[in-house]
Amino acid sequence: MSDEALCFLGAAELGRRIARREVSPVEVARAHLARIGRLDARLNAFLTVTADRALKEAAVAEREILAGQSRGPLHGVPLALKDLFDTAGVRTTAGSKILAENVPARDAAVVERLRAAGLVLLGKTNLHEFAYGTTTDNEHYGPCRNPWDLERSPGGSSGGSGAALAAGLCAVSLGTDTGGSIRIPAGACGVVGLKPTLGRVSRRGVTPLAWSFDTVGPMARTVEDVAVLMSAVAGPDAEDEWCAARPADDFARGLEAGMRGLALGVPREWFFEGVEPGIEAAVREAIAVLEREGARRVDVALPGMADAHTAHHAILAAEAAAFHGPWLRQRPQDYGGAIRAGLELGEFIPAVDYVNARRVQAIVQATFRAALAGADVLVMPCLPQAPLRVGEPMSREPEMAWNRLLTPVNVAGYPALSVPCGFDGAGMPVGLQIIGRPFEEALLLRVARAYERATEWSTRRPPI
Amino acid sequence: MSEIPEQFLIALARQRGLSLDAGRAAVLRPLAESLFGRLARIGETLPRDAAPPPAGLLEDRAP
Repeated sequence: MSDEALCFLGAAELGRRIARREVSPVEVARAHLARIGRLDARLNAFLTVTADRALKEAAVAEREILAGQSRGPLHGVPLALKDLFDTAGVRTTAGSKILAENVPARDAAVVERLRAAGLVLLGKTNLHEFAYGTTTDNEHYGPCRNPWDLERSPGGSSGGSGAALAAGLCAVSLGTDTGGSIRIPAGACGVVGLKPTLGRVSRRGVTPLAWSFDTVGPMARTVEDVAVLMSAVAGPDAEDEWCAARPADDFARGLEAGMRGLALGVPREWFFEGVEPGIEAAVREAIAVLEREGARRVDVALPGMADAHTAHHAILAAEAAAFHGPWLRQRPQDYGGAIRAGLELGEFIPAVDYVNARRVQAIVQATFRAALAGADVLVMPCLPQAPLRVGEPMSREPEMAWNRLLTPVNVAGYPALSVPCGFDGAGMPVGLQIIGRPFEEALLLRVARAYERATEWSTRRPPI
Repeated sequence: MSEIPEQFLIALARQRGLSLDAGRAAVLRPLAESLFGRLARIGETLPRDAAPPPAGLLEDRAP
């Protein structure tokens, strides 16, 4: 098998071949590191590459597997982490100048779990500064670029993870999603990304952006890989009071159950308004595919989404300003201009407006609860337009923002996923967003897998 | 919301211990006018019985 083929094998498939001793973790790590060396100068997907460490970890995995000591389905599989997760002994910048020299003493909870599962860390990926933005146009470390078109953004804030996956530079990655930061790069780069229910995955050791919305979730090229990674990281954490007590599921079980008997909710309002025609066509066709697979379509009402986006903006800005307050006073010049403006705006939000935004949050939760009383999942576009050009400013206005179809789910706290569903008129990937009830991530994955199985989008590769 | 004078933002920033010069206040002004305008409209139209979500995670609440 060629190195390129090895780098585009799914993570679960790679894990199976490693377990059968058909390929060695060292061979896999070397192939990925060589590909990073060849391609990343153009993509800027990685802020730190941990090559020596990766080869040592891969050698350990190889010895364990040869000794019959399996750590599970991802043992020996190469991983890239958004540089927002603390990694003991490895620089963790959060994409910022302020934390440029930060070397944590302890791994984040999810990193501890992935190490225990035997994954091999290739490095830390580029992101929008402090995860506060949707493009990964990072003012300190340079912009990350989309493998499908190097002039375009991979989305953000987990853009390095999306780009690295699409280009075959890693097998799986972890991102964070506060206002679409997993689903945007998943949609823009043509990979799968899952934003879990708020509280499903521990956030201990992850630099916060906004406590009310921050979630940690898996990204990969296939639905199965996302499911297997989710099984490795989800579950209670006694050290994170925001983490739910509910035990982790085996998210890969039931993946192949198909669509028969499921009701597919299609929103009447907001989610198809102002969407580029090529994107709408791809998403409407994806819905038709799911109907042909056995789903029953129902139209659902989701009013009030512009207010949901505004409430998201206010809560996020205020909470981010609260976290960054000391640095904003001591080192304001060390922030990028757009981030600094966003934090300053958060400083000015009156308490009454913050409380009103929380009142909107309760209404949004009730709206999603009602919509999902008559449907098993909701389906809609992930992004309303093709990925922005590198350097193109992002808007936060409800009618224009790139993440306007995503933020309402963050306000609700519900789980959502983006799965590739074709290409737009510009040849850029299109994502289908699937939203479900709290803690029903397994159902989202089942629906996404039914769609993936019926189409061939997940087999497409960017021309890099 | 009506216009927010840049001097108002500069004074507010100073009060909160932040340094905001005229150039940066000019950048911030349209963002502030837009967001505060939308929040003001929300404040006027929210139902009187709308309360913030109860404390706790989603799993603790009745379906």
